Amino acid sequence: MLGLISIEVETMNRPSLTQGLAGAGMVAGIYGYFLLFSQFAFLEIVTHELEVESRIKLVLSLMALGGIVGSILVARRKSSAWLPYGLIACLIASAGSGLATGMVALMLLSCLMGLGLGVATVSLAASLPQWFSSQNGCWWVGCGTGAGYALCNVPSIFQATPPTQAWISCGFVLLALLSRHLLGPALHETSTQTSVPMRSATAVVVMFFALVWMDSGAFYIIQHAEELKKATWGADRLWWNAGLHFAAAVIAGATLASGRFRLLLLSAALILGTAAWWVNDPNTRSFAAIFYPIGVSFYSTALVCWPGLLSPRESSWKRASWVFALAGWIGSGLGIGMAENLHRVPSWFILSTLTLVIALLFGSTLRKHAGRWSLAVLALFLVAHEQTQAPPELSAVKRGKQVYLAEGCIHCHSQYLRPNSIDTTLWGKASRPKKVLENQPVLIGNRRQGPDLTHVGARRSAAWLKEHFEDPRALVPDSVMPSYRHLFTDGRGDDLIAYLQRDLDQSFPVVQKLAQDWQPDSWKRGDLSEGKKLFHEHCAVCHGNDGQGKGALAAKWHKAPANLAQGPWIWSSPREGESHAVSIARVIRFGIPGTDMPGHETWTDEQTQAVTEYLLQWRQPTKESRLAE
Amino acid sequence: MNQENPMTMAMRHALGWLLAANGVGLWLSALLCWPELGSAFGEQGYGRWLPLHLNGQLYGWTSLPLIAWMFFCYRVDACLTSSRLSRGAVVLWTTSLLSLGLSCLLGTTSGKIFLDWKGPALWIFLGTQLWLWLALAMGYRANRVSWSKPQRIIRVLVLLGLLTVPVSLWITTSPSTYPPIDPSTGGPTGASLLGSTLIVVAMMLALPHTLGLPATWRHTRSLVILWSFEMIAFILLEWRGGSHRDMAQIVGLALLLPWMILIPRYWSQATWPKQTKSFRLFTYLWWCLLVFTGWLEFLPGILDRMKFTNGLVAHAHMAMAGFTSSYLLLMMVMMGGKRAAISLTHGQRMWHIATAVYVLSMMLAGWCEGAQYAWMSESPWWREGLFFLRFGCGVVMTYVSWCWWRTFSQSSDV
Repeated sequence: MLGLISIEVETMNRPSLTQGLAGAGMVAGIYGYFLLFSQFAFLEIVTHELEVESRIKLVLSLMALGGIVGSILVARRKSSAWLPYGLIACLIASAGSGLATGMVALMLLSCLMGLGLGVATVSLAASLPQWFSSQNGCWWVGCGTGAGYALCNVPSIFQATPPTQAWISCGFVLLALLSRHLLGPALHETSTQTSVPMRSATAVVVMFFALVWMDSGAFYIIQHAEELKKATWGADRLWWNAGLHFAAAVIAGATLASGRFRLLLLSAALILGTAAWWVNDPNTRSFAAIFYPIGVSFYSTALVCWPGLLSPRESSWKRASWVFALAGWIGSGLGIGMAENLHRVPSWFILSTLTLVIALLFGSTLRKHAGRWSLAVLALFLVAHEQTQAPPELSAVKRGKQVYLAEGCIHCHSQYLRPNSIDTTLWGKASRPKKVLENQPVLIGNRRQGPDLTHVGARRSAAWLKEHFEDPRALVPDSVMPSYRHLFTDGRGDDLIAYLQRDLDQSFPVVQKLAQDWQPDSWKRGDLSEGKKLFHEHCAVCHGNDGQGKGALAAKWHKAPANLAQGPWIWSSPREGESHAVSIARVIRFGIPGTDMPGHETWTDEQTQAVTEYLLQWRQPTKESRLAE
Repeated sequence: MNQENPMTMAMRHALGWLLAANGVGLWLSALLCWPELGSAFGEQGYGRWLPLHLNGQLYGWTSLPLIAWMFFCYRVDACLTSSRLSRGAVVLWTTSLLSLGLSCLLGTTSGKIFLDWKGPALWIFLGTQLWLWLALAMGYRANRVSWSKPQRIIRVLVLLGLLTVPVSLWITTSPSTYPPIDPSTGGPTGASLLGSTLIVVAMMLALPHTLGLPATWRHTRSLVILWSFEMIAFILLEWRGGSHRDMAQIVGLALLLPWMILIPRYWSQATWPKQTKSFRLFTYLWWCLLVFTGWLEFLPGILDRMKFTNGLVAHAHMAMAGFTSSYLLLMMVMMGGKRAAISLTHGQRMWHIATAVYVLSMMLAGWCEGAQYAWMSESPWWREGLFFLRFGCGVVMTYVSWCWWRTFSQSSDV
C-alpha cells in the first residue's frame, strides 16, 4: 500500500513571516504571469497580429517547446541561481510584446517566454525546500497560488486590454524577483524534513498529466463559448472567482501540509472532472463555474508543492522537470488540441481520467482485491451488456410505459386517485382498485413530488407535455422536475407522451365533467395584486405580461395563445355577474381539454379567483355598464 | 495469510453500503434543492438514482448485518469451507447490489419499488442467495454435533425457510403480482403493516436468545402465544381486506401497540454487555415512536392528509434511519465486540439527532403538503427551508456513516 513515508533528516529553522510572504509572493508572481500573460494577453496579441490559425499554432508551439527545453535544461544544472534569469526572460517577453510585429518577432518572444517560464517554474518548485519544510512550505505555496489566481481575477486586471495586461505581467515578474531577493540565502542547502506522499514518481507525473489535460480542455471550451465564458468569467463573477480560487488554494495548502496528498489529488480530480462534465451542458454551467476554480486551485497548489516540498531532495529537480515539461506543457497542449477538434470534453475522456487517477492513487489496494472483485466486474459487464440489447417491437404506448418505468417516474408521481379525498376535486373521479391492479406492473406509486398522472393525457396536450419534459421550469416556475430533453433525441419522449395520453376516450369525459362541476365554495372578489403575481409567474410565459398572447413560448403551440387584452371576455359586462366569472375561473383552473391551454388544478379557490379578477379588470366598460355604475 | 472473519466482512460491507446509500440520498436531496443539477448526469436523473438509495438501505445496510447474524448463528467461521463460502457470499451479495444499481441507472427495472430486480441482476441475486444458503448449510453440517436437538431443529427449519426466499423473490418481482391494497389510499392495508412488523417483533424476541446472553427468561411462552394470535389476526384481516376507515383494520394495527412495552421488558431480563446501553436505549426509543406514530398515521383524517406526502417519507426514515439502524448497530456491537463498539459509538448521537431533525422536518413538510397542493408548482418558504434542512441532515448522516465505515474498516482484524 502506498503510504506516507517520513524522512527526517535535520531539524529545520522556521522561516520568518517575511520569508513566508516572500515565498508566497514568488509563487503568486510566477503563477500570475503565466495565467495573465501566457494564457490570455499573449494569445490575444498573437491572434490579433497573425490571424492565420496555422501561424498562431506555430507560435504557441514554440512557447511549449521553449518551456520543455527550459525545464530540462535547468533540471540538469540543478541550480536555483537560474531562477532570476528565467524571470528576466519572461520580463523581456512581456515588455517586448507591445513592440513585436510580424511572425518572426512573435516566434522569438514566444520561445523566450516558454524558456523563461520553464526555467522559473522548475527552479521555483525544486528550490522551495531550501527555505521551507514540507509543512509550512505547503501553506505558503497555497497562499501564493491562491493570490496569483485571485489577482488575475480582479476585474480591473482581468478586463484590461492585452497590452495593459502585458505590463501588469511585468509587475508580476518584478514581484517574483523582489520576493526572491527577500528570501535571502538558502536556510538548508543540503536536506530538509520531507514527507513523500507516494513512492512512484511516475504515477504522480501521470496523474498531473491527466489533470492538466482535462483542465486545459475544459478551459478551452469555456474560453470559446461566449455564453459559457460569461457564466464563468462574466464581470459579475470575477470577485467571486477570485475569492473561490484563494480559499480553495489555501485549503489545498493546508491539506498538503497535513500530509493528505492523495486526498487532495482525488478531490481535485473529482471536482475538476465534474466541472468538465458540466461545462458541456447549458443547464449545469452555473455549477461548473463554481467547481472549476476549486478543482484548478487544488491541483495547481499540489503541482508546485510535490516536486520539491513533498519529494526527497535528491530527486526534486528531476521530478520538477518531468512534471512541468510533460504534465504542464505537453498535457496542456493535448487538452487544447482535443477541445479544438471535438468542441467538448468527452465524457469517456473524463471517466477514463478519473479511473486512471483512482487506479494510480489506490492501485495497490485495488490489486490486493483484484481476484475477489473480478467477479463483480464480470457481473457488471453482463448487466451493461444486457442494456445494449434492442427492445422487442412494441406499440408506442407500451414502449412509453417502459420509458416511464426506466426513468423512475413512479418515484415522484402517483397514478391513483383516492375516493373521498382532495384528489377527486383536483384530478377527476376516484380510481377503481380492481382496474388499477390489472396493470402489469402496478404503478400506484407512493410519493408525489409532482401531480398524479391518472388523466394527465386529457389535462395536458402533447405539445405542452413535450415542452414541459424539455424544460419543466419554463412552464412551472418552481418545479423540482429535472429536464428530460434527452428523451426526445431518439423517440423515447414521444413514446412516453403516447403512454400518458392512452385511453383518451375515457379520460376526456372525466376531465370535462370535473371542470363543469367545479364551483368555488363561495365567490369572492379576488386579490388583484395576488392575481397579477400569479399571472406573471404562470400565464405570462404564453399570454405575455400584457396579455396579448405574445409570451416567450407562444410560438410553441398549435394555436397562438388567446389575446386576453382583446380577447374573449373583453366586451362582457360586469353585470353578467358571478356565473360569467366562474366560467372564466373554470378555464384557469382546468384549462381547455383538447387544446394546449393547461389547467392550474393545484391552485386554491382564492388563487383562481385572484387571477380571474386580474383578467376581468381588462374588460372594457360598455355603455350598459357605465349606466349601471 | 490471515483471512477476514465472514461476520466482520459482512458488517464492513453493510457499513460500506450505508455510506453509499446515504451518499446517494444526499445527492437526491441536493437534486430537490437545486433541480438544475438533474441535468448534470444526463440520462441518470432523479428517478434512476432513487432506487439505488432505497435498495442500498434495504439490501445493503439492513440485509448484510442480518446475514452476519446468520453467520453467527450457524458458526460459519468454525469450518474452513463454510468460512470461505461465506466470504464469497458477502462478495456476491455486494456484486448483486452493484449489478442492481447499474441496472437501475441504465433503466432496467421491474418497476416495483424495493423489488426492482430484473434481467441479469435478478439472476445474480438468486444465485447469491443459493450460495449463501450453501454456506449456512455447510456451517450447520460442521457444527451440528455441538448443538442440542431443539437448537438443531430450529436451525434446520430456518434453513428450509431460507430456501423459499429465492422463490418468493422470483414471484414478487414479477410484474403480475401485487399485494392487497387499501382501496381508499392505494397503499398497504393495516393488516399488511401488522404482518410485516410482526416479523420484526419475532426477530427482536429472538435476538438475545441467539446471541446467547445470560438471562432468566420469564413469560416467553405467553409472548409466543400472543405473537401467534396476532399472526392469525393478520392472516384473517389480510384475507378480509378493508381500508383505513374500517375499524377492524385500525384495531388490527393497534395490536402492535403492546409490543412497545413488551419488547423492552423482555430484553431487560437478559444481561447485556455494558457497551450496548446507549444502543439499546436508542432502539427502544425509535421502536416506540415508530409503532405509535405508525398507528397514529394510519387513522382516518391523518392518513388522508399524509398519504403521498413527505410525511410518509418521514415515517420511512424513522423506520430505517431511526429504528432499523439502531437495531442493526446494537446487533453489530453484540457480534463485533469491542472493535464494533469503539467504531460505532463515535457519532452515534449526531446520527440520531440528524435523524430526528430529518423526521420532524419531513413530517412538518408532509402536513403542510397535505393541505396545500400548490407547493408542487410554487415554492413556499417552508418547502425551500425544509428541503435545505433535510439536505443538512443528509450531510451529517453521510459524514457519520463515513466515520463508522472508516473506523470499522481500519480496526485491527481487517
